[in-house]
Amino acid sequence: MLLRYTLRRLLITVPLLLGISVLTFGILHLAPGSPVQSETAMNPRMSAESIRTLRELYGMDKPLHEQYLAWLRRLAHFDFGNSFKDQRPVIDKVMDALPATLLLNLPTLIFAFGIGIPLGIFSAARPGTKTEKLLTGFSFIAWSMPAFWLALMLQLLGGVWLGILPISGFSSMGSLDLGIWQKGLDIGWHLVLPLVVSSFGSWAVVSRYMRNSVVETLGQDYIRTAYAKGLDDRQVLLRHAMPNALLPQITQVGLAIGGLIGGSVIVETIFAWPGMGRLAWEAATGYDYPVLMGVAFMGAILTVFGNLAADLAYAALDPRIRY
Amino acid sequence: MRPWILGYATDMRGFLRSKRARWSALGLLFLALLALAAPWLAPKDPDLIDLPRRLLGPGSGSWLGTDALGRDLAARMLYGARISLGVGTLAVAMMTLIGILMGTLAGHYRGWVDMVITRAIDILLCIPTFYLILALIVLLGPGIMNVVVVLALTGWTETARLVRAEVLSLRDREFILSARAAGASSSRVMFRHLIPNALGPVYVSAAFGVAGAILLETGLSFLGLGVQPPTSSWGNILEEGRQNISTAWWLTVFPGLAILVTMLLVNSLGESVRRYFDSRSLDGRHG
Repeated sequence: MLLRYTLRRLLITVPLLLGISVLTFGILHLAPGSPVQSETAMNPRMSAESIRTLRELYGMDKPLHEQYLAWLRRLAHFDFGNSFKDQRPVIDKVMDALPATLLLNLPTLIFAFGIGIPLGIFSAARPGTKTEKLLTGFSFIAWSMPAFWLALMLQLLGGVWLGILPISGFSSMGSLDLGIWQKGLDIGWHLVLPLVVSSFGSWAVVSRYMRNSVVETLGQDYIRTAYAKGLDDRQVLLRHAMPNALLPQITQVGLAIGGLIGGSVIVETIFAWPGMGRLAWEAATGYDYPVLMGVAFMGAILTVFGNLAADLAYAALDPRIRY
Repeated sequence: MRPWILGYATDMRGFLRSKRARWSALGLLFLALLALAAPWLAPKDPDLIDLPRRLLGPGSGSWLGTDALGRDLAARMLYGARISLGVGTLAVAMMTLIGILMGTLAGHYRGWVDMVITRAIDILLCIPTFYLILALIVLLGPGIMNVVVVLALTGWTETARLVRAEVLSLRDREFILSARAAGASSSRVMFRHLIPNALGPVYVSAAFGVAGAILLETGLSFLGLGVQPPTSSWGNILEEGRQNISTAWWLTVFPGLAILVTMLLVNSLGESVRRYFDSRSLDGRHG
């Protein structure tokens, strides 16, 4: 049965991917060489040659539907053309940036949910206590905190004033000569500040969501039954309420992926972290359309499959779902 | 007869009864007044370059210090408040209008209209929002109005989903059926009966939306893709501060604090709006 659900769920992604291809096609179609040319003609960074390359690249002399089909064929091969800046294939640049993005975002996910979930459980189990109020106040501030300012403040505090943490980059100068362990340690040390910044706001979101979920679960009939048979608070909370309260978090993980990938533009730019976010920013400031659309498309693919994986996990874990 | 436009005026009596709502509304009003009164309050012209007085700390002849070109930080922040608060509010107003329209069309007509709009929303939600914003900004070019337009074009989906759900639950209620039976046209049903009654969740999402929009504007301006210097926004003041972070802490601390305080106030107001509507729907208004 799960197989049928998986197939059906996979089918839904087809129109989504097609839609994304239409949208990226539309944006590229409006790029220089078309209606907005007068705008970009003023831009000295967009040379006549690169406009011509773009026109040829996307076959803009052909009819619209042929152009779109050509674009679709290229997308199927992950061929986004070459970067305007250094003529390297876009897919190579994206693939070079992907590991750094994953290295930042996977621990961020673990951090966000690993800290947010216990906080949420605590707030739900001990409402009205001093600690709970303190935590709620703290997560309200964390939620309102602009990530780029937090990043600057941490750079100021940890890097400039205390001088204990590297404030930017992926590794230290001369780290190529280090052994494999020291290299790993060096990268990990550089990861500290970006990781704190990119997971900071998510703690608040995750813990609030988790608290509501636990509170809702605690109101169910079977919880009363559990109390009635003489279990204490702890057993009811951890054994009976927790599994059901945790389930919706799976969907949240899926949804968080898109936000994280997009959000890492700011974090990666500030910390000079060589991932997809910084690549997107460089492409945007350099009018490098092929790279920008390549990154956006790959980000969308990651999001679509992240959601898919979350939905399938949910279906597999929740016995209440029948197909 | 009661003018129909009054249907849009949601009954907000009792909203200011909560302490949280009063304080956050008061704080935001104060910020808005500061921004509006910038020409009279600002100690100096915000764009006046005064190189001999560059990078002076707070106190020394200017309240919050001066930047790398000797411009007065307090003056730039006051004028920047107009941009940052204005862009945030305007963008949310636009995205809310688009969202209400799309959501109502989808929920009212259903069928293929609904399918097209819902699919469009699903697709927009798949592309990481910030990448989409970057792509559109590059297409339109940076600048104040373009930031507003791009934020509105990428941010309407949540409102549309909320309104669609409300409209779907309203469309078979007696008062809608009787309006139809009385021969009301589709647009009359939508604009006079459906929309005014579907606005509850819109207020909540719009209130939080302002916080999101201000964050995105300041973020974009910080990245050099939003409001362009010399026009000041809290975001581009921060970016200029970053370049002098090791020598002039005040250039990053003060504008960031301004953003944080604004975020706290807006989110706090949003929270009060949500609690207000939650408690009202418990009273059975939607039941």
